[in-house]
Amino acid sequence: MFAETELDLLQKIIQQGLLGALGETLLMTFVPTILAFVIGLPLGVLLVTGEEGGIHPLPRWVMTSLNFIINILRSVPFLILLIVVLPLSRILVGTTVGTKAILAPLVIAAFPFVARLVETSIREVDAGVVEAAQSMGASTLQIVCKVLIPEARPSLISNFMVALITIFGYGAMAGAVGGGGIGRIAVNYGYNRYKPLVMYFAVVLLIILVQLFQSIGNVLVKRSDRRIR
Amino acid sequence: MIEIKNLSKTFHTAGGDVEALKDIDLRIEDGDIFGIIGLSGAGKSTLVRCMNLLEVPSEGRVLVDGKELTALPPRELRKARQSISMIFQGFNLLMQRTALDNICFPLELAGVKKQEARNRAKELLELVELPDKADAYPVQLSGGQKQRVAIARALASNPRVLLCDEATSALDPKTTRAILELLRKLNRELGVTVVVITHEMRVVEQICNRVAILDGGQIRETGPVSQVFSNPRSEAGRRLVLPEGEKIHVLPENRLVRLVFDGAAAAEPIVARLASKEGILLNILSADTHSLAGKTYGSMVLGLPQDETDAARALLYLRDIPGVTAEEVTELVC
Repeated sequence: MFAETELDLLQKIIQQGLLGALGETLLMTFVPTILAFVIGLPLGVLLVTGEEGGIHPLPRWVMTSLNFIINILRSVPFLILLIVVLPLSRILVGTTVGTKAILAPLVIAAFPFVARLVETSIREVDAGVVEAAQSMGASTLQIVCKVLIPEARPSLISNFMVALITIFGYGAMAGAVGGGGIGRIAVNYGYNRYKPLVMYFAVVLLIILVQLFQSIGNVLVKRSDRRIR
Repeated sequence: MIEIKNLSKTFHTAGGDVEALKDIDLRIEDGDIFGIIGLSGAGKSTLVRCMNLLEVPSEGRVLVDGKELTALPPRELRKARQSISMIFQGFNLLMQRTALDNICFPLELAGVKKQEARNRAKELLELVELPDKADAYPVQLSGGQKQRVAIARALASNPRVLLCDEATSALDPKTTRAILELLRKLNRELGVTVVVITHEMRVVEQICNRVAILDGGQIRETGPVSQVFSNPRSEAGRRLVLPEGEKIHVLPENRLVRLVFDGAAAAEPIVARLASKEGILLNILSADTHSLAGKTYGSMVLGLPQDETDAARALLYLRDIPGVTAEEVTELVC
């Protein structure tokens, strides 16, 4: 079905570059997800606590601008954002190609999305529990650190996996503009050089990884949620 | 002591201003179990939230133990709240923490060392009779057990005041009695002042010594439970205490008298004695007994005879009986 040379090529790729590509893919997934949470978690919390009637209302213009910026960043298609942000990568990591170059655009694309995910998780926390904490004299920071985030933990873990898989998808897409990882194998060999076998192989590998992430995520959520008997 | 002076609360909503509380003046003494009763929408929850400033009053002052909460800066208000605890209808436990860790929570907030907090939490679990539930998560507890954990949590900071916002409304009658009994025990043993917000008379009857009736955002009546419940003076009080009392308009020539008598007098055959000794026949229009704080109270509406002299003699006689209050009424509400 496939030409002999294509099988040889696949074998060569598996032997020489696969492990490295897998490593790159994992790097391009976990590092930006974690960084996106470092930025997105406080922002998501702020979206809830800072609103009118929240536990620490902020001036309306602050909230409006924050929402506006998040919405703008979320509306730009990832590929375009990627190209626009690449000059920033040159400043930060000195190159616009390869795995490292793709990290900054990934974080910038992901953190507004993560902020919204965190916002929904935090909103799920029962207002009564927050009120109870206030009645005990908790400060805003104590409520955030001891009530909102711990109570939203299962939902946050679940949303972390959603973000991880989305960023994983972005990372694979970045293969088209010089990003590394398994996405690049799929794009370079499979798409550009028209080697369908390699492409299918890469896609199947991506599917397996997504399934794996999701399953691990489900187990973690279940384990962490004390509302399940 | 909690003093509320001239307090009003107005909510500004999209549909216009809502006056939830109007000119509230209230004084709750140390060691009281003070009931605030009213129908839903009366402003009970808003009032109790003004006592720890979860709701900021639009006007007026709130003083707890002489400290004016309404004048405190945020940091000091948070400190003051540690001595004004609160329990809720929905328990409001942290679902991701064990019972023990829930009780440790206010101690953590106050910066108590972990081991010390855990020891105190264990003592409190004993106090609320749940020593074996330390490691249980709220989802594994029944409603009554959850409220016990919430009470233990509320007591962790050694509060002077415990505010109970419909704390038993989500519980069945048997559990309600047990929780109320526990509150009474804590009041007696720890001397904590308890404020009970409820829409149920039996809650107030069972544990409160004083009660205020809240209706339409205003205090209509306040006093000892035995007095307010046996002989409500306000329209709202009557509606609440005598809920089935339909107004029956009787012929104008019949003067009516309402008797309220306490446990001792309830045994007296008043009507029969009037008939045999004074020869005056009274018409019993309605009669009822209530049980308040272990004492029986009766109330009765009598129709006076049409003869003016007989009516006057009957009134004099009735007013003379110790333990009985007699008042003329124009409506038959019993």
